[in-house]
Amino acid sequence: MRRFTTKSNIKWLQSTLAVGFWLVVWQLYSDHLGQAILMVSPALVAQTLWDMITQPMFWQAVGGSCGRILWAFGLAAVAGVVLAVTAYGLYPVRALLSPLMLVMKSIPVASFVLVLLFYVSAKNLAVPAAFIMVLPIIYTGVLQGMDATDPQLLEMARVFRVPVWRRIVYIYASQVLPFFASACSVSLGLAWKSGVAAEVIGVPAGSIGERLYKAKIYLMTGELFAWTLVIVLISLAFEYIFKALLRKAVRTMEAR
Amino acid sequence: MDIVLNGLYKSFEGKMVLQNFSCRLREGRTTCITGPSGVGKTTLLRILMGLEQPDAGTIEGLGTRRLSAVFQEERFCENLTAVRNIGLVLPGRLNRPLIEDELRALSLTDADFSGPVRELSGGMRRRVALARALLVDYDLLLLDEPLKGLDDAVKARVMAHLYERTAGRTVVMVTHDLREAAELGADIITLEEPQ
Repeated sequence: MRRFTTKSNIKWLQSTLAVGFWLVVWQLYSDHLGQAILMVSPALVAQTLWDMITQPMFWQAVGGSCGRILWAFGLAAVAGVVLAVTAYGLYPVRALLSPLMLVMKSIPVASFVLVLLFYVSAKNLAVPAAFIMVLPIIYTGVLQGMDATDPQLLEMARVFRVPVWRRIVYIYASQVLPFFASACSVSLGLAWKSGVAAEVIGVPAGSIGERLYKAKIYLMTGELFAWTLVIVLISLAFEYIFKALLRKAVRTMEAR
Repeated sequence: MDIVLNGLYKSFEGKMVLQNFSCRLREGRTTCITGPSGVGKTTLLRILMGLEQPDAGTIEGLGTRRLSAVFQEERFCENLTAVRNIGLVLPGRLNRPLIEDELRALSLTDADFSGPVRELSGGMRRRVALARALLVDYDLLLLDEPLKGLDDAVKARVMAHLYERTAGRTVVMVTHDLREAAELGADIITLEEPQ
């Protein structure tokens, strides 16, 4: 007998039902409170979001924040990889960076942002804030990946005198990529959280943080929820795009 | 020039593996190392590969020989095809026809080397590892049980190919099977448990 349901269909259905369940809970709670200022309904958030996206200011804020946060993420990813490779090869560098990365991972975003305000203009505050959040995660992930590189493959490369660039591409990269992808996946979300938090504190003009801040002080709860939804959606979209690009890069590399 | 191993000692965490071991590996000949499990056959190969240092003793004639090897494990990049795994250790651009010819000579079919090596059976992986070792330009070929996991029919064909491809070359092969050594017309060194 032909089966009409596949595992992926069931998974998709379960995810949709889960989202639907929480939307219903949200709607019921909103109805129960009956005060939109405290808890807006999902329908009102959708309506507010629709009104927002038709305004140029929305796209200006999204574009500005995306640019700054992605710039910070890219810089941190490159710096994290370079530092991890250096630390893997030079133990003194690893020892030197270890406490610094631990501190960067442990300190709350708000503390960083408040200190950064002394040094950086409010407009660009999101860049160092996101950078500092992302860097230790990428660094640790890549270093873990390099440490986990199969020693037997490295011995094979040594016996056959495999050139360094081939070792990097075929042995190290293939071992490190899953760790790098996982670190990027986690840190992309963190970049958005820390970047927007920095914008809310610094309130740069034309940013998502500024819109969130204004929504809060003018008690526009619908906008506050809608902007939060926008942040979540953009973060998920970037994670999806990033993973797709990484998969393509791996396929291209393996096909060489 | 022969390779002369003189008075080699090697122990791991207090367990003596090689004790005052000496032998001569003749240039242009195949030498088979046999003996029960755990007597240091693989350790001896690893010393010849430069992956282990003996605790004492000397090795003459090894110099800067170019090595090739079949390890105890295949040691592949599992996501790559057999052809790309072999291409990884060969100099220059990927010479696909050369590699495919070698794989076919070892009784592998085109279908076997089109997918990633992780999808191959144990016997197929062994043959890919052997093809990799044979294609490298070497002065000393070190083989650690290269025919492990092959059925008798395939083993006979692979043996014949190995015999043909290594004629006049210096080869050291670890094996448990004395018939393999005899068929290759090899010198035989039997390792024994250290006292």
